[in-house]
Amino acid sequence: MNKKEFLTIEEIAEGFRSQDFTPSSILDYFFNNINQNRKINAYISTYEDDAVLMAEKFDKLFKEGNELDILSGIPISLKDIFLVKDKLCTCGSKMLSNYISNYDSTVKKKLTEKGAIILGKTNMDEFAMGSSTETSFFGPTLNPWDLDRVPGGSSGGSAASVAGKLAPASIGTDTGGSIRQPASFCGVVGLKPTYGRVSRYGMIAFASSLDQAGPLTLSVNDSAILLDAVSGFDERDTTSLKLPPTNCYESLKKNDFSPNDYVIGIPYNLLEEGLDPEVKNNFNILVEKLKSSGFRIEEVSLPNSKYAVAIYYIIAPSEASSNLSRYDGIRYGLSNDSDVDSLDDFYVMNRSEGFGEEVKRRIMLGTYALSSGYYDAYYLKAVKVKKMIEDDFGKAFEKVDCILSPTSPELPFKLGEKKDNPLSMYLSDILTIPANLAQLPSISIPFNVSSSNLPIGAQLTGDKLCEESLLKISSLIEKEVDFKITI
Amino acid sequence: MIDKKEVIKISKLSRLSIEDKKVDSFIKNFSEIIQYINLLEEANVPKRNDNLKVEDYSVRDDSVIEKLEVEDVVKNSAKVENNFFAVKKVIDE
Repeated sequence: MNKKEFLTIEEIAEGFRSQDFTPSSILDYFFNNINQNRKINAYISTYEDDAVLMAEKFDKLFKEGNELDILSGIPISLKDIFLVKDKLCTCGSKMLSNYISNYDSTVKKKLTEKGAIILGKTNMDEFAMGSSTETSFFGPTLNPWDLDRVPGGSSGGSAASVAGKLAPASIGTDTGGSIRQPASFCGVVGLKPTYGRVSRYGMIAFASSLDQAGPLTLSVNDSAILLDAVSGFDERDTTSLKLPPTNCYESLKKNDFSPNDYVIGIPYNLLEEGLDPEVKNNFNILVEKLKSSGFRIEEVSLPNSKYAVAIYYIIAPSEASSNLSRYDGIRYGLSNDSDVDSLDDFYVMNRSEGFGEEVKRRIMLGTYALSSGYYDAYYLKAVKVKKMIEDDFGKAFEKVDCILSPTSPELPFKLGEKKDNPLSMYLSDILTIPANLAQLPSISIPFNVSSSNLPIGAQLTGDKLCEESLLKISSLIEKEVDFKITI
Repeated sequence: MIDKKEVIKISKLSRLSIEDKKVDSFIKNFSEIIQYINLLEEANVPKRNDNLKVEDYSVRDDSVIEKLEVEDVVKNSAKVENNFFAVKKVIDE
């Protein structure tokens, strides 16, 4: 097989179709890379034996000349938050370090029905609570660009797997930026679809009203392929939107769109302070570039997005405190057999031992926000201000097609740098959280590297259900910036 | 400002205990976060948002879509008796 550095889903699929290489040889390539790069710690578990059998099946089908779905024989990594029947699903936690899934998540089922081969499960912040993958019980994932730095989080293992040639693509989840920020930190494309586009069935819950699954890939086209594959109504998720799967890849391939068709809005009020100077300068250069390529650029105002982090740290922990109350050591999860006086003590013992510090902090924040006397001041107020953010976006989308900003205000930071300062870690999601609160589709595209060769991502947010135009604009920007991973 | 007493109360409600040696740093971080969240006090909510309620999510018919076998359901439990989850006695003598 052609030992090209990075292989997109499209390129691998074309190689299978033209019989330039086989699913087995591709699988071999990725498992070789995985086994040689264990120190990156991108995976919590790998499924080499199952994957080899699947690949052999597809070798035969391609050899016979069958016309197969584009995902047939394509290896993919999955964040360890998606259940895969009879396999471990840890969610990055000691609490679930022995948990064996009873059923398949819809995301996994849809991928394998289309022929994708699961390479394994990627590392993540514990219960997806974090922006650096350092809260994982299984140790941090390292950023393939610079092993002293974090890959972002919570889907850090997924992003590192794609940037490190340990998978051609991955599926992660995004509650406050957990797909887009690691995509930005690792120089890959990361898409959070509209809330409800992708079923949450079999995806371990953190903050149910914000959690959404989506792809991390090497190209915008690959993101479209995976969104088309995993989206669509699922009766087993009550917040799943009653819509058919998207058909974005076909639209992108038509190539009948140009920068002149679109207006991009920039929320300058959010970019005035708190931005790393290198991020800011590179972003301004990008904007000029897009202007000269034909996009119309307009300023938009999102005055209430400055409250986004505060709202998020009321709503997400509140939902988490309720969602994580199920972990009591009885039906599943860590169960200590020491003798204690009461059932209540048994819960406290298991939960205190099974959860890490950040998870405990968020459960307690949520418990506090929902507790008697504070509910109106915190939770209800947060819901009301959240509506103001949604209204700001609604107004902005009356005059622009999408909103552009940097994905993260900063470059990938050093491992341990924010360990003792959770608030500064929370603030690193200031630009990504608004899209979750307003349920909007949002994508991070790598567009340049810093002077120290660290990737910088641009975030594009679209109106609800407008993934297709969002991906079209992203594809135009991708062509314009011609970003290459230079590790 | 959150004090130690309040943090202990919240940890009890959350069925969690915080290690003694970590209590002080926990209180410090927790207080900083609460202080930051209090930023919301200055947000001027328009009157039309006053009656905003938490959304009602849709529910589906209470029918079985995919059935799991009891043996499978209990297999992740540390203590099972006759296919039931076994717990410590909850009634005092």
